[in-house]
Amino acid sequence: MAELFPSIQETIAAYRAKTLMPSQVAAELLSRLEKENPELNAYLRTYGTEMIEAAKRADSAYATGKARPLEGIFVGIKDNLLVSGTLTGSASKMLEGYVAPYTGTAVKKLFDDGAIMVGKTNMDEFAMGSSTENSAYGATKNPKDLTCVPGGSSGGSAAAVASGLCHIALGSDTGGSIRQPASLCGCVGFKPTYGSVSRYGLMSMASSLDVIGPLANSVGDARTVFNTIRGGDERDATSHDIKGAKKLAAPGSLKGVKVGVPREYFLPGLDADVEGCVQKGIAKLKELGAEIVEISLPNAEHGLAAYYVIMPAEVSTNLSRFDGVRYPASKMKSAASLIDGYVKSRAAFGPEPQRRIMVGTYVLSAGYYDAYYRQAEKVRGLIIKDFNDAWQQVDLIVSPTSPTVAWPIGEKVDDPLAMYLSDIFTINANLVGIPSISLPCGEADGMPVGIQLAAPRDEDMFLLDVAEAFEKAGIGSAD
Amino acid sequence: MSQITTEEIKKLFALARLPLDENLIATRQKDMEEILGYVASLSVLDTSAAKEVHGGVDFLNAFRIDEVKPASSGERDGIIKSFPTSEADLNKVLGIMEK
Repeated sequence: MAELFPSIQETIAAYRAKTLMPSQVAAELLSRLEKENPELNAYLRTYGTEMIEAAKRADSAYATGKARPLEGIFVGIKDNLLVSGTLTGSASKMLEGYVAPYTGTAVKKLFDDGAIMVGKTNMDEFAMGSSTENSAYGATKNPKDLTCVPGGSSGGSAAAVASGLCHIALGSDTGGSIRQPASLCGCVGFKPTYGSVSRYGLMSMASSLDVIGPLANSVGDARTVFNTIRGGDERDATSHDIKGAKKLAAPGSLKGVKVGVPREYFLPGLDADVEGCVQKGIAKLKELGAEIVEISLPNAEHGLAAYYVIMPAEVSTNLSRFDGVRYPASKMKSAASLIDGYVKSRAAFGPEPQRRIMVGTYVLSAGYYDAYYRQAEKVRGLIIKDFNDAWQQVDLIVSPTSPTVAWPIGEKVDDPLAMYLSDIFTINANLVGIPSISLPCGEADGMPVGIQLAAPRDEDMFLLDVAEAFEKAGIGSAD
Repeated sequence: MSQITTEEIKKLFALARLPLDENLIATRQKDMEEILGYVASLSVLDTSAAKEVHGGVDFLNAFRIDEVKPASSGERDGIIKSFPTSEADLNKVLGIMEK
């Protein structure tokens, strides 16, 4: 959408100046969706009629001076976020035909401020994957190269944003599912502090790790969305209002900001061209006034292994609710017994959810709980301590978002471990609960590279301030 | 690499209430062995002094008043409509006790 409205702020300014109307944008979007979505598969379902009607109401709101803060801003919503009265299925056959009975808090806040839903975006089934190939409804393609994956699990949201099929999109991030697709598609992906956005209305994958956040074409747009959706909510006991205190000395300047570069993150396995882009990004941070400090996170390398115990354990628990008793894709009618009904109904899970449920069941089972699950939670404690120690020395931590650029569709689909390794730089922010953002940082082999910045818990605003300074310095081109 | 027997894989299918597919046993066995082999690296870490962490936040006692707040009629109807089999506004399920 860049040529029509490069940012939320500019779009709203154009609406107010009456040089653009929401209904014009809706018409343009419809045309693009018809042309591009069948190939891209960014959206599982779009709501053209409702979008046009809502855009007409937004036209009236601007005409009468009653426009709300996000009136006429078009959003893509990941398919694991509930929107009342619409099919909502986490891209799974398990929930085929399920109509959400209510709207989740984050989405409702966007709607209450006037945002208009374009559609539900594609994703890896129940957010389990790093490529969106695990969707039961076909893979999303990367807008930069249609033979490549867009990353995942919020790959549909990233592709929709990067290809101009919405202003912004919501995703969810359990181990990198906002940041990694943002990196692979060349947009901004922000994972807020755990609990800073209510999870009410998000289908749970791993409850101690899941966070809702924005994918956007700019840091400013991500900030606008975050400011709209954040805040405590009595329907999510882990939600809270952030209380960050750090500030930049002057807008756009990183003078006095200490940025840590973990030596454990720049090792073999990281693509050389990706590393080159990220090193240029680090040089940009220095140009902006930041002090670059080498740090050590001695247990960070164990984050991925800890994650692939903790996450499946929580997955196996959360997905036990899909048993054929409460949701439409049920085989209970043809079942000989309740247990038979459970088993027959759960055949609707695709291979990756089944794989993770089995791993989770194993690590939680008697005899293995201490060796796997309890040990992983203790390692999580060690990693949190590493980060807390690091915050004594630095204000931010920088790293690549993904060890590689987008890879060809199908390349890793039969090798789950290789797929899991693509999240190696993003996992720790979820284990620790800190805010983290992926920003475009040049290209390698013609494909986007992302740089990742992380800040202490609740310092989301400071992180966004630094990210915006970085973005304004022209880091997207990294030269 | 961790060794998982075919019998263990079959037990896992049953424990997880997943349909046992004989054609998938070898694939699942390989996947499980690779994943558990990878995460086994955690076992060599000394965690004797480590704090076990179970959540993304370190809140304690996030209380709220225990009062009933009814769902809207639209929410209630939506939930009932999603039941696979219903009778009036009840979710009809198979008996738990078998004869």
